[in-house]
Amino acid sequence: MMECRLHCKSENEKTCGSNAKQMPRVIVVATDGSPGGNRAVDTAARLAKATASDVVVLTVGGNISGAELRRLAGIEGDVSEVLESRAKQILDRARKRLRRRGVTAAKLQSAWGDPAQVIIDTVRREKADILVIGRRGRGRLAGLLLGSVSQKLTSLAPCNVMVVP
Amino acid sequence: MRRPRQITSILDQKPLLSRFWQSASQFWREQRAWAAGLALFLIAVVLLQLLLQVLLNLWNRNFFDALERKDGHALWIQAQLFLPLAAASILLAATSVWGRMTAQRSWREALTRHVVKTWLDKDRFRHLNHLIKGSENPEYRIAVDVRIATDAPIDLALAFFSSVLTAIAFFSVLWTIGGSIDIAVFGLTITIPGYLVFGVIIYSGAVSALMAIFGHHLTGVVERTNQTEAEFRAAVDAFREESKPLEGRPSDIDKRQTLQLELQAVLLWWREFCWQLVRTTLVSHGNFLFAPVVAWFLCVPKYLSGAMSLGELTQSAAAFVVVQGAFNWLVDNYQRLADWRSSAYRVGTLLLALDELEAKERSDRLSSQHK
Repeated sequence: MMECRLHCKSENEKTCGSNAKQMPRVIVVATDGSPGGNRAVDTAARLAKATASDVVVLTVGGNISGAELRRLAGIEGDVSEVLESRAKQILDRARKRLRRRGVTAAKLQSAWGDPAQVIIDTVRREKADILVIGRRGRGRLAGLLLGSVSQKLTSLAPCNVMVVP
Repeated sequence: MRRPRQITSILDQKPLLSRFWQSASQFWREQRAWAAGLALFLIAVVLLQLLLQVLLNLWNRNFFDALERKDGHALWIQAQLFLPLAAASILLAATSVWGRMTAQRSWREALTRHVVKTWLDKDRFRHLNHLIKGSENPEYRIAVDVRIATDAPIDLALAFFSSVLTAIAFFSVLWTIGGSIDIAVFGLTITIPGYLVFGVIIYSGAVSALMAIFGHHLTGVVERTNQTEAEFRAAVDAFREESKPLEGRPSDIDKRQTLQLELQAVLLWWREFCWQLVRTTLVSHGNFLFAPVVAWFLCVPKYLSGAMSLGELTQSAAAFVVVQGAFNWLVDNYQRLADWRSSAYRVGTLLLALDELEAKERSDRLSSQHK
């Protein structure tokens, strides 16, 4: 059984959504397509099914390997288009995972920029009650050097945050 | 809303270069006498610089020969000779900078005036952005890209000319001073004439091959990095021009996201550019350390056998490094070439867009006359 950590905000810190004691109505789950992100989607699906909440799946930013970039340099490929299509792929896979776990309707969003900031903006815009994230995404080295996205979100997010290991 | 794609990524790039060259070469065609005079002056400076390089190389030999003989009088003469040689070399270097930059400034002025005139004529600048793809951010193309596109060809052409002449001149130094070497193989003695020439060709070939392996993506990556930077600037400009006072509406959020996406693309290309430079630095810095040492090692057998004096050894080693440096023209100018190509493409794109607008104006005029 997976152990998830729920970081609850005190009442005066809350800026959106309902009380922590109440059932969540909107769940925002952020994924980058990594195993950690996939586990976050699975957890969000179970939670949404149990509480009949709406799910918003968000993917932020994108990466392209050096080999792929070098290939694009040779064929005049457009990085922005590749990034958009990668984001679409991640969201499609997340939708399939949600469906497999019984969640048929979900709002899919892709965005670009600083992941922590974009996720917080989305949480505010969607008036989310809970944010579900993986503990580790793809950027392990960057996480070690700069602090991980999940660490930032547990400190800064304006709602409860569930960090999936 | 996505921005229109750059014309460079849609069209074949050859028409862009030829359109750029059509306008850029106007300066050399119209002011033929002045341009030819300047070109001859620059060539003369390169030839004089080469002559001084050969004289300094010769001075190097004489100085070390005097040192080996512990001949104080000869050393004093060499020291006196060095001053006029150094003064002439410094003066020529300064003259070369003046000549190159004067040519670059004049060429840039002519091309910029031409582009600005076409851009301003009949208020074309008002219609350009919205009508024709590939004309985004014309201010940057006129101000910066024209400068890069006219600066680099002069530097590159002079460097190429100088490299070819340097290689030829110092080949003869290596051939005559290095002479031949005898190598014993399985009891047979093989004589290699001008062995330092073969040595420098093999060494330079190896370095160039390594550079080609390590950095063959560099030009493409530099071009794409520059292009993505230009697209990011265009997206920022478009955002400023099109954004409405009220924020937070869906369309505004979309535009912000487009901006962030362009930034992400820039950052990814920069990351790859960084890795390409890391890879090529491995070769270029290795070459910087190894080239003189390889030269010394190739000369040492003849020096130890007494067939070469210390002065000849230092002269040959210096000539080896100079020829090797001349061979590296392409390698050293990889990035400059890529910068030039991407800027020339962007100027060519703007000129094509202005041509298209001009053609549209003509057809509109004709149709209004028929009415």
